[in-house]
Amino acid sequence: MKIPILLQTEINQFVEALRAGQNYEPKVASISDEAALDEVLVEKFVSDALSILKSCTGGITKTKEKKTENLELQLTDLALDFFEKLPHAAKFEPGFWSYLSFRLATIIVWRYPPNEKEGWGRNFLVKHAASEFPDGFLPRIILRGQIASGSNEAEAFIQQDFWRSHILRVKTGYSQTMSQSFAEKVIRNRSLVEEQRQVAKKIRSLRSNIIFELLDKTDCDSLVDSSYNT
Amino acid sequence: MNNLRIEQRKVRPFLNVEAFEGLLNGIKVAMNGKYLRGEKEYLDPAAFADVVLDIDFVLNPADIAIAAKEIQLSLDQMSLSLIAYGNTFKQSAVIRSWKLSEANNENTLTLHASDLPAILPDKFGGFNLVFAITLSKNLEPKPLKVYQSGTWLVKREYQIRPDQDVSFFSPMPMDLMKKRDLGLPAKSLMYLEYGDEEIQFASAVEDVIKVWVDEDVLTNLQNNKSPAADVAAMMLARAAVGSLVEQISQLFQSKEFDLDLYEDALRADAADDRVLTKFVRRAHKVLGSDDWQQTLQAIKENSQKVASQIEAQVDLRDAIKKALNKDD
Repeated sequence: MKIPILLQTEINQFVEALRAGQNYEPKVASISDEAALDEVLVEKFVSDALSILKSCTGGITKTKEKKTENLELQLTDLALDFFEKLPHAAKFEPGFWSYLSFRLATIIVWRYPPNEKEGWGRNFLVKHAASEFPDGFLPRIILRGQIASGSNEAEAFIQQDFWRSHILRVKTGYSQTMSQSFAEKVIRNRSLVEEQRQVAKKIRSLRSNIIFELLDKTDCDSLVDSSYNT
Repeated sequence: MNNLRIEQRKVRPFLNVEAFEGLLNGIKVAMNGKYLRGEKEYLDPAAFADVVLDIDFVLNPADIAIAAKEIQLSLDQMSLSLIAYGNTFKQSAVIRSWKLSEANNENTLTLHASDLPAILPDKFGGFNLVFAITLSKNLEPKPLKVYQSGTWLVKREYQIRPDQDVSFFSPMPMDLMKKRDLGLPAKSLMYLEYGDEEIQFASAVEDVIKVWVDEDVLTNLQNNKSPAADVAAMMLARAAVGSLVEQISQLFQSKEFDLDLYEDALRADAADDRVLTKFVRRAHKVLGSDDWQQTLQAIKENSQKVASQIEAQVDLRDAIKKALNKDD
């Protein structure tokens, strides 16, 4: 199977239509790849992800917060497994992630209802002036899974907003060890949003002088502790 | 233009670390056989999957020892490290790290994309290479002294990015002196300079055509977010891309050019670094075509339509920003 992609113009139009509550069927293009993409793998991922949405968001007894946690936990496992099986040409093709975002738009829209903010389109990998690298709902889920899977404590039950703002969209995310230390501390301390924000700021400031990637877990834990205490 | 010059400088909370400045300048990195000159380089997205980096770690231990003395450190308290970062999925890997007191027998290193498959083939966000001399162990904390391990004393960073936008719309800022060189009046706002290289052979778009734009106009376009500025930027892109596609269309129509043979080479995905092929591959992607023959015919017979579809994909602000940061 060639790698299906959506060009920026197509995903832009699709996102605008979602915002306006209209239907738009984007034109799917494709690129070839020597290591062919397995169509069954892609279709199974899409259908399993949509099933997860259905099973996690039904019922009236759970809060939206609880449903979101369940959805993101299950999606993370699924997406990590899918990611590992992809050829590199697909992994690093933004149009492919836009295509998958289009196929899984119901999940993204459930998690992040459409709004007029420019940044909302980033969930679908629409390029944004504030960032050199387009990010998206699916790549974020995968990176969070990679970081959490290396930790015994940093379970993915912290909602994506924490990861998105303080780990994935900032350089802290380049160091999986530091990200784990921070996430674990947030869980242990049951930090609220304002505390998370203040500590995240201190960690970013430390990064301007320290190369976190060279540190071991003990050093990262100690830097996070000191950021909480000062 | 006023004569005010703004310079950014990092102020660090440590005394005397500036003694380390320039100590990594001997390190050389070559990408696919060409030495990197600037901190930011662009690579054809198709080339990321097979990129080769050759690194020469050339250091002057005597200079490092002198700088270390300035901040009361010894060589065994410092390391030289090379870290690679993949931007799309925020991956990082410490490729090499050794203490400066230990003999380093490995002065050169060659890396192929397959050696760091989660980082180097990243044709989306590109990758960074960071060389740094850092403190290798924790010391007793003292004010204005380096004490936390991992703190860098000097670092050097290379950023490798996909060149998909810069290839076809690359405006160059034109100041008064340049206008004089080109024989233009001072009021000229834009000038297309045709190069000596034919489109069939050129490996850089600037060798075929240079789009000179008055530097104040470029600065205004970058800073002005109004729709009028976007329209003006579109006109610039139209001039650049339109001219390029017109030349390619003429080439395809000429009897000397074997279009069938070229189509076979495209289908075989043969290595080809020419502007021509980069453009055709881009058009193929933008047109969403599965058939190379269809793409070549579209460029040959309907060049303006192809040009306008490619223009619509160009990140104009980014191209202008790059132009303003670029030395001629």
